[in-house]
Amino acid sequence: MDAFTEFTVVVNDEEQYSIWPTELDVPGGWRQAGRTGTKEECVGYIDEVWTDIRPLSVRMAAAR
Amino acid sequence: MSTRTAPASRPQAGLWFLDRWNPGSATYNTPCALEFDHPVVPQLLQRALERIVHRHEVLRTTFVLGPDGPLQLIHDTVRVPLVLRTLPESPPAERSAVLEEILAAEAATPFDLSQGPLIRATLVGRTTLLVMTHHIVWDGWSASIFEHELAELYSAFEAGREPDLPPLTEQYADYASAETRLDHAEHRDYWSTALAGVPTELDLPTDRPRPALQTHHGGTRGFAVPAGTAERLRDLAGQEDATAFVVQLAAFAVLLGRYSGARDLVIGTPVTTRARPELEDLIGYFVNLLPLRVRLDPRATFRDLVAQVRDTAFDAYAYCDLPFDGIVDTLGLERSARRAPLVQVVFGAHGEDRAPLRFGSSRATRRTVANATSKFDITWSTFDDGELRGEIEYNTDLFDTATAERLVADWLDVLRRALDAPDSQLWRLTPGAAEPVRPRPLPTVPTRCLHQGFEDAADRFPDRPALSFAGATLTYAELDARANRLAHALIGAGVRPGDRVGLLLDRTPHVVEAILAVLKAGAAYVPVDLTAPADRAAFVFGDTGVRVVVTDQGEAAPAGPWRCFDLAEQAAHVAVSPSVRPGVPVAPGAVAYLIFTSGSTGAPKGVAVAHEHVSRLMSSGLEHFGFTEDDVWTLFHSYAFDWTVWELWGALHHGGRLVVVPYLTSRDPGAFADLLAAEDVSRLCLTPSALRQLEQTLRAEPRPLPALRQVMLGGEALDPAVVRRWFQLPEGSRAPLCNLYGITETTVHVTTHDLAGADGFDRSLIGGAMPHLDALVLDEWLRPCPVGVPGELYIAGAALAYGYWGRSGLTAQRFIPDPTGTLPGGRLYRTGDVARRLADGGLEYLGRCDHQVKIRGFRIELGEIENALTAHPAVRTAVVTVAGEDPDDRRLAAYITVDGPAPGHAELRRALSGTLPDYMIPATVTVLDVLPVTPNGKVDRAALPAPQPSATGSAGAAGSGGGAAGEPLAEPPATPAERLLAEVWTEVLGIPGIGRRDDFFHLGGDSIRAVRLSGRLREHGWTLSLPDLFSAPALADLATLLRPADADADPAPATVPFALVSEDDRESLPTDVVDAYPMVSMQLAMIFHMELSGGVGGYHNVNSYRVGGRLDESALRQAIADVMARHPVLRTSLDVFSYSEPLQLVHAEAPVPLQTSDIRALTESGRQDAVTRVFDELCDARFDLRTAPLFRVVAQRLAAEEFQLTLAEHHAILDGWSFTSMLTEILERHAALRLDPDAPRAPSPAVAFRDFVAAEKAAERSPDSAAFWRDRLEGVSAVLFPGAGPRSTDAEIPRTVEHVIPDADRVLRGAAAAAGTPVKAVALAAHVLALTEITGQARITTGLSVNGRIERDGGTECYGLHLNTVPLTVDVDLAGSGPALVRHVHRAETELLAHRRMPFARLARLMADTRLDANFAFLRFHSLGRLAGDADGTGAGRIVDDRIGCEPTLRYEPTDFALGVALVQDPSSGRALLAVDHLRSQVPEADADRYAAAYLAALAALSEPHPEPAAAR
Repeated sequence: MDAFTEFTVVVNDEEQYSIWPTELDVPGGWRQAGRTGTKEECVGYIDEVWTDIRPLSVRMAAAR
Repeated sequence: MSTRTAPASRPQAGLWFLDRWNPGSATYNTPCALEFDHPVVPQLLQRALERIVHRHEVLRTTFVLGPDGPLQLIHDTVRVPLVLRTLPESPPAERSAVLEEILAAEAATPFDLSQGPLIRATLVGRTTLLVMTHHIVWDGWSASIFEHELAELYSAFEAGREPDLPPLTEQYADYASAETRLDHAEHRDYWSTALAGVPTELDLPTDRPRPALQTHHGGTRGFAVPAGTAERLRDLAGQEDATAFVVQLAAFAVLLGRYSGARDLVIGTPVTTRARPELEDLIGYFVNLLPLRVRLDPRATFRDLVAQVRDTAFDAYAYCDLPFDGIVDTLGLERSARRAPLVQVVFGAHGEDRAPLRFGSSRATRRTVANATSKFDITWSTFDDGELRGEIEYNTDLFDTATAERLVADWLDVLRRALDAPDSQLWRLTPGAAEPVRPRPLPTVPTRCLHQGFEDAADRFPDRPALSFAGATLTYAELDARANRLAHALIGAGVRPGDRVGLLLDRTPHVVEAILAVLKAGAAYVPVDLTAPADRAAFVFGDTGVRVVVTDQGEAAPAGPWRCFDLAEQAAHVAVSPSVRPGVPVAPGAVAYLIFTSGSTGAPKGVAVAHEHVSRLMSSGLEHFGFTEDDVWTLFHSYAFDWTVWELWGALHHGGRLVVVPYLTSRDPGAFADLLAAEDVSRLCLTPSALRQLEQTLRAEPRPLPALRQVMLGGEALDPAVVRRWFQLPEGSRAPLCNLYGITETTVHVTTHDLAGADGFDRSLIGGAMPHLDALVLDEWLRPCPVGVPGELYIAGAALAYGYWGRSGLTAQRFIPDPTGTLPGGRLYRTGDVARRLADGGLEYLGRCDHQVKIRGFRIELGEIENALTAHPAVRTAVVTVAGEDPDDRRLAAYITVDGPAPGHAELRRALSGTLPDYMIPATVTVLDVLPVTPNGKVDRAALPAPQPSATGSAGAAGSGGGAAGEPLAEPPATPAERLLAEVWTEVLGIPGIGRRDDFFHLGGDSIRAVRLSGRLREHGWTLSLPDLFSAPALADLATLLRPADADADPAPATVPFALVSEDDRESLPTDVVDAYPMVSMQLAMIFHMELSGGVGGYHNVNSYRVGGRLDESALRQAIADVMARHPVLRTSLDVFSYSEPLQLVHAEAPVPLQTSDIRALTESGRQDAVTRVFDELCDARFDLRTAPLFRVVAQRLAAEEFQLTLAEHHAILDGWSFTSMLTEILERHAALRLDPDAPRAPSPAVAFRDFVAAEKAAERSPDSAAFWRDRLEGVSAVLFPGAGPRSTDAEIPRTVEHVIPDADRVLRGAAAAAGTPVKAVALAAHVLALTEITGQARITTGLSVNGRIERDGGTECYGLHLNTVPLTVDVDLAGSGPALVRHVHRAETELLAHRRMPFARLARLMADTRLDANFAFLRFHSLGRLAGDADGTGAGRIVDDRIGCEPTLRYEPTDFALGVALVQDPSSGRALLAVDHLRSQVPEADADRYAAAYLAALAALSEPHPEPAAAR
């Protein structure tokens, strides 16, 4: 992972966010979430948009 | 036959050196084999062969070391017989097997470069010809010349025509002479620049640790390359102006980079030095090895790499004249005995002609023959005859065949990808993680909430005990009810599903109740350890936004925006809350706990783990461990450490009992061990640090733990040392181990590795992933690392935590998309741990990524060094860190704790260099009493002190005004061995003033000088192997490795029974004889002397000891029988006359020669008389040599706890060491049998006295020793008492003068330290001085008793007469005085050690007079130390002697010298006894007394501070 310098923010169906090197194909079940840049830029973006680290299904269950 | 000489070419000199390095090896045998389609005529082949040998001088060459290096001796004629072998008339498969066997044996038979011939030929069954040559006269091109010449000659002879062969205008010697005259200055410059700063070791992962000495065992595998590849290679090469070789080498470099992690590496490639047309038809060694440096930039394209390799290779070809050894010498590289210098991997691409050869009417095809050797770690070859095939030769001590095959497959893969897409960046030429190596099963286990799992158990086992604490126990029903009440109370206090509840509790049952209650209320618990810093609780509770904090800490609980639920305050309220289950619906996906981890960087962060994560872990665990309701667990750890998750639910989901261990008990290993025993604990979870403490406790105070079924280990790396120690505990107080690797973020555990014993756990093995998870080892490009290659561990699967509470950015960095696509949208957890996959599929843990360091470009796993350190028997634990902030000055710092005295840095260095490369050896080693640990019981690296600088030898020049900068002065050699070495170095290197820290190679030593050094040392009577020199190039280290030259001949070939007896003799031996061999010279001398004296005087020894301890007659009888069974000399009889030479006969059995009596009833003086009577009887009762055994034992019971043991033996069967060892062995065995009549008997020694007999015979024949002694003894007389009359042939009983020297230890050691010699030299010097005193002679020749025991394992255990007497001459006037004299004497003695087995009878003939008047023996029998120190020990019995502690009460040990002196030192008390025996007919009493006085005075004087030495300030 450390060999790469450019990343893209990705998210899965449980609304879990992560980062992924732009040089590699995005793995199945993940999609790009609209931000590409250095690791710091991507992580900063995630800190902003992802406020509850619990998976979507768990959050939904708790909210019921 | 005449010969001429020529220098060896420099490449030949290199091979010659390798042959000296590893004499008798077949590594450089080069086979050439032909298969004929019709039988050939041997006579024609023989003629053809002779003609070729005649044509090519080099095939008539042998080698010898001349003044400037090895020389070729070219012989006019050399016979090379064609050996004919037939094949049996049997089925083809069988014939073919026999053929293979013949070829393999022939290929494995080494050449002798000094003897020749260096070519030999075998014709098997008239259809297979094998020509073996030594590489030093041959190369691949030579094989082709040879084949074609042989074919032409054969065909011509068959046809009766003149053969048509090209004329040879030059011979190899001409080439070599010209070659050695070349000046390579320009070439040296090129290579110095091209290879500046290059790494000298390619760190390929090996299947086994690299041996301390490079080996050459090898295997060879041929492999196919897909058709068309050669064509595609040529295409790409054409596009880049390169060759197909360059493209192949580039792909090979990518492969090596992948496996080694290196970005700068060296690959050797063979090139021919046949640069002129005249050399083209010449057979000979025209090969050089070029070290090609390749730099790998993963971002560069393959085309870029091809261009780089092309330029490097083409430049190198232009400078190929400097031989490889010259390049190594030019670079001044560190040499090591572990590996070949600079190049460990070789790649060659060769053309190949597979067209059959015509041998008259037959046709021949070539076949390959492997000789099971490997010149390098790996030699990779491809052969091109239009299509490509390959061959890999690999060192089988390093690599398995499977690994070699994997390398081949990976290379073909890289090659294919590179040819498909040459513009790809290099990192894309190997598979990425998205191409999974193996499919992973998806988890299908249904999940449950944790408290529900407990409730299920409570329903099944309501009355079983669930929880124990301080003697009280709760049943499952009771615990459930209490937890329910507390849950209701918490709900009443406002706790809602999805909430977090803080816990701040002492380690009592409240912990378990509170956790259950929080979960039952639908919340997650957030534990904080009481030992954590004061502000930690407030931080954690604030960070997780807890609603309530449950505590038993009263006011100490932090205040905040949460409600404190004080258990003491609320006790009454809880007690009246409902005991029914609250029934709050909780989903398995809900968060169950938030446990904080620190990590090495950043603030602590809470890991959010759900019920279902633990549920999957427990299902996996049940499958692996089979937990039951009978299990008893401990809650040993802090609930803030997730080990407790395993402890809690491992017990409470299965009906087991959980013993809550009070905090103080958990910190007191003794109390904890008591608890384990008292509570019948069966499942124990520990950190390795805690296991170490428990092991220590169980060892110090053993106690059975019969209930213990398993110890599970986790939390830190498990080191092999603690495992080894654990399994050395007695059966019954240990249990099998399971090593678990885990991380909080993946829910407690990831992998399991079961250990039923210590075998095979030589590294930190963690096994494979548990069924619900998967572990991947990936590199920084997210590519799976090949087997054996370290990488970062990533975990996938269904128990990954949700992430870090409130830290989404950090979560996103550590939990990344799973590219294997096993589970769409799945994640991988990036552990930050380094591991490698092993060939068996398991994993080895190597350490934290932040503990993986790079020093001088090498990647280093600190854990590997730690394991190597703990492999040292004295090291208990070890931690290695990196000291120094500056990247250029980073050093490895080791911290160890030890058992017993700490080993010195030099010793550890030596031990480590056996298993680790130089760059992994710590610069400092700091010894600590105990390693600091964290509250979780893991080693606390942050708390280690600053490293202690290693002592740099004992600097004698202290007080030089501290802080003076500048070069330290060379430390002069300190010991005789060091001085001798320094002298020889000066001779060989031409440099004076060598210091003890100097390095042979830094001073200009090279491989040839190394051989010369070894030869010069041998002339001085010392031996040094070349590998020793390379592994310890510093003078002081090397000095410790010097051995007397004939010890080199040891291990004397172990002989077999009857091996030394003629066939005729053997046939006439009695039938009960199980072995027979000749007598040694000293035995014959003794017997001769005994016969001469009519059996009266001479070598009949009697010793009588008073032994403290109870006598058990039957145990003693059995003990003696057992000792006789182990030692053939105790069943031996001697026969001087019946056979062709005097023989000793070993009988299968002999009667136990023991008499016992009980004289307790007698008075004290009566007992005294009885003992003396027995002694006198034994003195008088001579042995019949022809009846075994030749020893007798009488035991007399003196008192309940005391007996007298009197032993008589014919001296010809035992020397002093053997006698004392036998006495010790009998007493120890007696004690052991007294306790346990079935005590197992020790195995027989591995060395037989017969081996010594053989060694003495070899010494007699040794021309080296003969020359040494001739030189030493010419004209020497050992007559010291010339006035004495002729010796009477009548036996004369000598008189004995004895003196106890009470402070002998201090005196001897002081004098020895002043002189820098062993103590023995001081004792001998005093003897020389005393003789000077009483004889007035300045030149003293005395006999010296020496011991010729075989220096092999078991040598000291073998009983027999290993003695010899050798003359030693000292010119006292020339030798100086004080320490100088001691050193002189020591040197004289060490020089003769190498030749000490030459029998005295032969030496006497060399002297001017065969008489040897005086003799000296220094005796120190270590085995007696075992008895003397036994006051409290094994109860073997202690020798009662108030003089020096180990002497017999009565002693009768006659000698034959006019003056025989022994200094007997007691190994335990340090006191010594001076015993002077003299024959009154030769030395008057007054002189003997004067001698004794002079000896004591000389000893005292030697120990006085002497004005001469370096005490000067």
